[in-house]
Amino acid sequence: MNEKLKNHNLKGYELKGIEPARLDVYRLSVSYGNYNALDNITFSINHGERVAVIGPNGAGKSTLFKALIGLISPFKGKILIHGQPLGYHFDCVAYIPQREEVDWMFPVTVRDVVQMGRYSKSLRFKRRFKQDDSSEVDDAMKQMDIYSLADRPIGDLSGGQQQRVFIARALAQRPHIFLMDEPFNGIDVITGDIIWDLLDKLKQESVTVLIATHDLNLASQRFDSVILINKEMISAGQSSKVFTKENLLKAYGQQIMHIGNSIITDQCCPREIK
Amino acid sequence: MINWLLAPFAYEFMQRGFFASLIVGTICATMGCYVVIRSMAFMGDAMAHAILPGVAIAYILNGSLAFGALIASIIIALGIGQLSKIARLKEDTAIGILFSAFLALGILIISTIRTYAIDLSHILFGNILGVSRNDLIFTSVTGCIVLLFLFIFYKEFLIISFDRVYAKAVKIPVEFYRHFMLVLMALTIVASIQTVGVVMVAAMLVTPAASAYIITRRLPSMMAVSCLIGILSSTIGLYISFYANVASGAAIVLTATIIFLAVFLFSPKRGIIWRKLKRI
Repeated sequence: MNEKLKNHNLKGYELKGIEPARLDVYRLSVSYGNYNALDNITFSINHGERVAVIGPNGAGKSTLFKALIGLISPFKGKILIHGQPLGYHFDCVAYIPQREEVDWMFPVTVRDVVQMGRYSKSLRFKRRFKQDDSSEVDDAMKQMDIYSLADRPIGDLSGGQQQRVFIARALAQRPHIFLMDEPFNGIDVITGDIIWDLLDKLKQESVTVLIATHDLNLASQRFDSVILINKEMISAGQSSKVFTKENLLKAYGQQIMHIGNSIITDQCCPREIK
Repeated sequence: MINWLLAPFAYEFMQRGFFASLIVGTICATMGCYVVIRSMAFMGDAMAHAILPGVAIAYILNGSLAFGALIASIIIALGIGQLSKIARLKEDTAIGILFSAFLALGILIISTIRTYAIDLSHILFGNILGVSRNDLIFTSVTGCIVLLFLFIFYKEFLIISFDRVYAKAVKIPVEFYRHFMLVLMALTIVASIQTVGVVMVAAMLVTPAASAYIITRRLPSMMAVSCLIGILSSTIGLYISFYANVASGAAIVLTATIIFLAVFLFSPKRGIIWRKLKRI
């Protein structure tokens, strides 16, 4: 654990257990020119926790994920994985992009894409694919139920199947931390079920999972904890403590309504929150 | 028939021209696959035209034309990246500015040379029949270097082309490989200029690869088919050039275009005729 970090008083975010937490984010700020995409984000996540990252459109959820896989530099603050700064570990964080970010007409098959997941583990130095690499790839495809589609070009698949290809690539990477950006957007029921089976399995293997989502109800029901951000840190912890009226107003402003016990957010017309 | 096919090879310059065009067909077609899937067609066009001032200056200084061409096309490739970054312009705008500037500069310099018209047309359209022994050696060596690097760094080039974000996340130096690819493209262009010329090399970088893109669904098979089309176009084009007595570069490019049209019309999966038939 970093000395400087230890000396600070991390209210509500202290570490549990003996081992350093899997993921610590401390006072993370990212700005593009004069625009602050993320300001002073601090949280800590334990091994195997399933965490929902919640916030309105443009709250910086994707920016946060990109920072966690080292795509954003420079940033202010600290990101520690197993107590070590970003870049110390080779590829223990896997990121599953939103479907819109991919060129689906690219001439690659399902297997080609999933094999890319083994790049850091074997291809970079050995340049060759070994037996255990291809069984790793096969396992990942089977787990996502796309093994029968292995030799099909990715452009031929349905939206849900395409999503599963990228999850399989991340699985082949054997990461300690999974980052998924809106995985439940526009997918079929089967894919949804497969993703939830996977999430349960990852939990058993104590793989940490962070999922960016719009769905507050899902976040409060099926996740260990939630992180609520809107460019700045609003709250982190158990959903019952985080989803207070005050916090939600802070995050969503006038876009949110309480009706009895249910929460409704208006996502179609996000407004500037001052 | 056999006599007809063998007749051109009675001339030594035809043999050399034939080998040169086979090599050009292969490397342009392979490199072209990246040009097509990375949407760099305009960049290829610009790099090809940008060699003009390099060639002209080398001509005046009595230096190596190929070396002058290489330097000029690398300068424009890196210049485009820097200009679009620093001036915050879209890449195609930066290409448009530098491309025409280099072309104008090249013509300006060439116009100071007496034998202006002949020299210019050789550079623009190539002169396959004027391929010397040294030219052929240069083209072969350069071509082998390009193919070798494309083969060795296949995985990296594939990953940075398909998914930049993932490439960065697994710590592939994306910018390094992007520039590396531009240098390989410059080498491809320089190796091809003698045979097909500035104007045609841009077409050879795009047309065979685009035809292959329509038929195939994986990068390795796309490269293989693209090479096949490149070689086929070179061969057929040369025969047409020999018997019809027309410019060789133009004949090669038009053959490639006809193959593209055939593929575009008749391809089982994406061809328009089949799609129309299926609807009926």
